[in-house]
Amino acid sequence: MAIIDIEFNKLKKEIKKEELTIEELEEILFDFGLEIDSYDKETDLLKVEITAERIDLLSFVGFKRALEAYLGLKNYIPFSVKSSGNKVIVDKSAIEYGNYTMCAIIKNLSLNDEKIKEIISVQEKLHLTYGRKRKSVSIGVYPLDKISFPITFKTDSPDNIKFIPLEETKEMTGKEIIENHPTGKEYSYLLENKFKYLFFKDSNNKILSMPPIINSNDTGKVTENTKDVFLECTGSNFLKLKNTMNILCSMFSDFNGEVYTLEIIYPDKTIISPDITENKIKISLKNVNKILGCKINKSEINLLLEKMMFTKINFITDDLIEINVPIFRTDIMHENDIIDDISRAYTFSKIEPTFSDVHSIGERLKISILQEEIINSMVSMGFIEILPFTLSSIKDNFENFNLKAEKYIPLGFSAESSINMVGNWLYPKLFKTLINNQHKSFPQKIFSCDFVVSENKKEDNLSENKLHLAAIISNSKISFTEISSNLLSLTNVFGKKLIFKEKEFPFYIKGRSAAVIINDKEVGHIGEISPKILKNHNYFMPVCGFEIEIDF
Amino acid sequence: MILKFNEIDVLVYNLIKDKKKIVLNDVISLLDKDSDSIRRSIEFLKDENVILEETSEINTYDLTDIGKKTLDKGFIEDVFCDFIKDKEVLLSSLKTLKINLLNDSEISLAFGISKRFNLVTINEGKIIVNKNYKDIISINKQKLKDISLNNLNNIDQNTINDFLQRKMILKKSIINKSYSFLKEVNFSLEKDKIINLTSEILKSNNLDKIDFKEYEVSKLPKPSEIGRVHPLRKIMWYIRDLYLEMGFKEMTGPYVDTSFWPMDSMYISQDHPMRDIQDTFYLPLKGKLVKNKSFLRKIKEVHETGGKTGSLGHQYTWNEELSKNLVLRTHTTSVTFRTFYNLSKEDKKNSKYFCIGKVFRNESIDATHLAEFYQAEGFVIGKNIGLSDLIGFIKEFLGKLGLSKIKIKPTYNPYTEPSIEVFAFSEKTNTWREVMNSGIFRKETLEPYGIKSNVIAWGIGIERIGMLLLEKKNIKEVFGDDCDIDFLRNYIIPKRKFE
Repeated sequence: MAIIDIEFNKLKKEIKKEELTIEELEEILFDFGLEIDSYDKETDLLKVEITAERIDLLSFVGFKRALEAYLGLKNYIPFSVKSSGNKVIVDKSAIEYGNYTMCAIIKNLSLNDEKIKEIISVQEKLHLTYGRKRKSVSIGVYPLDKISFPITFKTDSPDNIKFIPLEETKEMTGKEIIENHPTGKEYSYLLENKFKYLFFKDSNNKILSMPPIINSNDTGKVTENTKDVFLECTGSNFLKLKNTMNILCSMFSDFNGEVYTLEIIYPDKTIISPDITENKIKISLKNVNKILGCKINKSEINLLLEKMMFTKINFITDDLIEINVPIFRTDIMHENDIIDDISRAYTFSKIEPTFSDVHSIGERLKISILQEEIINSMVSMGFIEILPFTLSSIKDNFENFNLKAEKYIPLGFSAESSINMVGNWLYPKLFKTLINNQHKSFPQKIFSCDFVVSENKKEDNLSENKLHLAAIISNSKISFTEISSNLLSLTNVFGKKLIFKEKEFPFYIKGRSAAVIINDKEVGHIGEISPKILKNHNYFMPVCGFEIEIDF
Repeated sequence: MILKFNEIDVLVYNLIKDKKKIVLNDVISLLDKDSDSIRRSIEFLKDENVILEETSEINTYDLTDIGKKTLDKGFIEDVFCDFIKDKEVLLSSLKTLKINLLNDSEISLAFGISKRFNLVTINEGKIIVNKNYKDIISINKQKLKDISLNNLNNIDQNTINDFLQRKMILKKSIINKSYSFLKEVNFSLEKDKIINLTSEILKSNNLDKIDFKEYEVSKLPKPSEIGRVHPLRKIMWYIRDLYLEMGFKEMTGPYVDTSFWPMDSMYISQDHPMRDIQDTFYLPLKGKLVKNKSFLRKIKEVHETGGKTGSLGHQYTWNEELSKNLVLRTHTTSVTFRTFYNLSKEDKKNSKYFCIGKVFRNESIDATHLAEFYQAEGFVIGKNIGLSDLIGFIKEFLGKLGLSKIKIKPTYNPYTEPSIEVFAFSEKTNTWREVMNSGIFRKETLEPYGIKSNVIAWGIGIERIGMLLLEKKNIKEVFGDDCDIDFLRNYIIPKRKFE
């Protein structure tokens, strides 16, 4: 999700709708599927949240283009391209690296400060969202007059790449940029384990840039005097490169620039870039009405499609329509994507809810019925239910209970430093509750009947969710008899045979603990918590309890 | 006025009158009666202003390990003086001094103490042991012993502070209640009144003549200790009931999953921002995929070319290995797709399923952000089902929750198209609030499972609904390990509906 900044008055003026209020715009955008993040009356700054799929709306001109069509103020007309006759050569080494490029030339631009800011902002937003922080797509913009063609795209070792990067005065090697330049350091992770770095150079062997990191200070700076620009984007996914270049060209075309193509010469093929061939997608009017549950007819559909910028349409039959998808509508890949657009043009508020029932009978899972019965039984014995977190730490889950950390699911990177594993039993959780409630009245009888995650290498996901029940009594005087009779009552209620077998556990007092055997299977333990364990938790009240896996 | 006393009232009255002032424990031990009855009498006399209750904090002291050792083996200054007394020890050689039984730090500590208690004096750079040092030490030893037995009468505060500082004793405070006699009153003993009806009385013959002592029925007691279901569990059960009433079947799935199920299996491209590390817990483990090769091929095809759906697909190379990375599920939709995989032929045409379960987000935890929370989600498969039916289902579902005024907005979701966001109007706060996300599953998500019918689905956050129904603002007050037990004991049963 990205947010774009718009001057509201400028927008109103440019779409020639001066009477539009912010409230009206909010309603229009609501139907269109966008939300206003904020509007500051004083500065006239309007912030609009753009959903992830509509990268064509990341610029002011792109947003304006869509709004004008949606309001029926202006029909979208695709731009045309001319050939520049220039070439970009992609060296084998770039292909071996796994990267491709798409390029374009834009001429006769009249840039001003505002437009330059917009170019930089779009570039940043595309990098961040669609480009996944330059991991997938990286973009470069260059003043054309500083460049001599053909341009070559290739790799070399980091020490051999030498140029003055943006915002620097002296030459640096690729390696130095990654180690010392602020932008280089920020994106250095993208080049981890790479022995060679990518770069563009022109026919005078002047390095233009080192994607996806940084442009050269000599050739990579667009100013108000720049009339013509060279655009490139690089990355490993061809479709994303084509889409990115088309979004950029559409924006420059809306700046009244003329778009020129180049030949990109790959070792095995030559392609013309930008590739502005439009995808054709067929939709069926019947499907539209079936999916939306409305009755849109042939004459209405034209208008609805125009509102969403689908201006080139062709009725193959009365039902089947072939639609040319504008090149910047990179989100359209299926008939349903167009039907979705039709629903936005038609507006949801016009769709009448229907209550056609798909007949089926409600049914619960055995385990969920069992869990509910157990919870109710525990509550009837005076226990308070705790709804614990599943995530835990090795200290809480193992060490505080004198247990060796083994057979568990670790977390990897965690934004929260106090958690590093998926909990595999409930005691640690109930103890947290006890510790936090030491100053409250006693006795405290708490329990939890919930899922924990056990390691199980036989499963595809190396683990399984297991339903556990743990109950604890804490008071100035506790009795093993009380907690064990609670467990006995529970197993009686479920008609199960309970046996306690003397057994030592690292967290119970020796001679005051037992293995819990239900229907001849050892499923857990019961006992009085040893003073050392209580001290580990800084807890100063006796505790006894049990924890069992629910396996009946 | 004449007060009505029972037998125990009389005993307590006389005892306190006699002693003038007495602590609670003494009342109980001297009277040798049921302590609850004694407490009741005290409460009664207190209420009638016959006695006055005072609470005071009394300090007692426990010996620490050091204290016990000292009492057992002697003071370190004793050992020190014993060693020094017949030798000419220079102050300057103190640092290099070796004494059996004492380590270096104990030696310097012992010297410090000896000086403070005048056990030694310094004369011309030499340490001279005073003759009466044994007497002083034995007085101190007696004091420590007294403190350990809580005989504090002859102990001054300085001595206590000294032992506290030397970590020999630990302070413990207890609250003590005492009662002093205020005024004499006239009372009548209600000997004949029966307090407890017993089985013996019932077996006797003259039931007509029983005179019961009246209870103070208007006085509210302490509430009883009862068990409670967690309030959020109740909300989950309410939502579950809604789905069941609408004919949905329950489904379940694991928390830890290969990224295949919560991502690849539902057409989320391997380059989608949704996979970004910051929201998802990626576990440093690799799992396995299903053995069904033709199913995996279909998933690959649909990602790369759109398969047979007529879609253009994502147009990249789908990497099976990436989908094996284990994650904690970020949504319960993984359960939906696991269910799709196992649906019967009939269910693939016509069925309704729901699940309520936990999901995880890799976020740092504070008052408003948790790393885990609960979600409910349901789907409907039907041949002719569409957007208008989805809106119908949502209206019915939210209507059951008491949310009748809703509006819907198109939105984006990588696995549904159209996707819709639902807002409900709260009369109470006069605002629109986002309550759920839903949509029609993309054809690309369904094709590998052989589902030809349309599938609509919606999800709802349990906490969001729960917090509103419980009228709570801070999620941590309600959910999690560090929850307040008094809240769980005393919460008011949440309403089933918004009103």
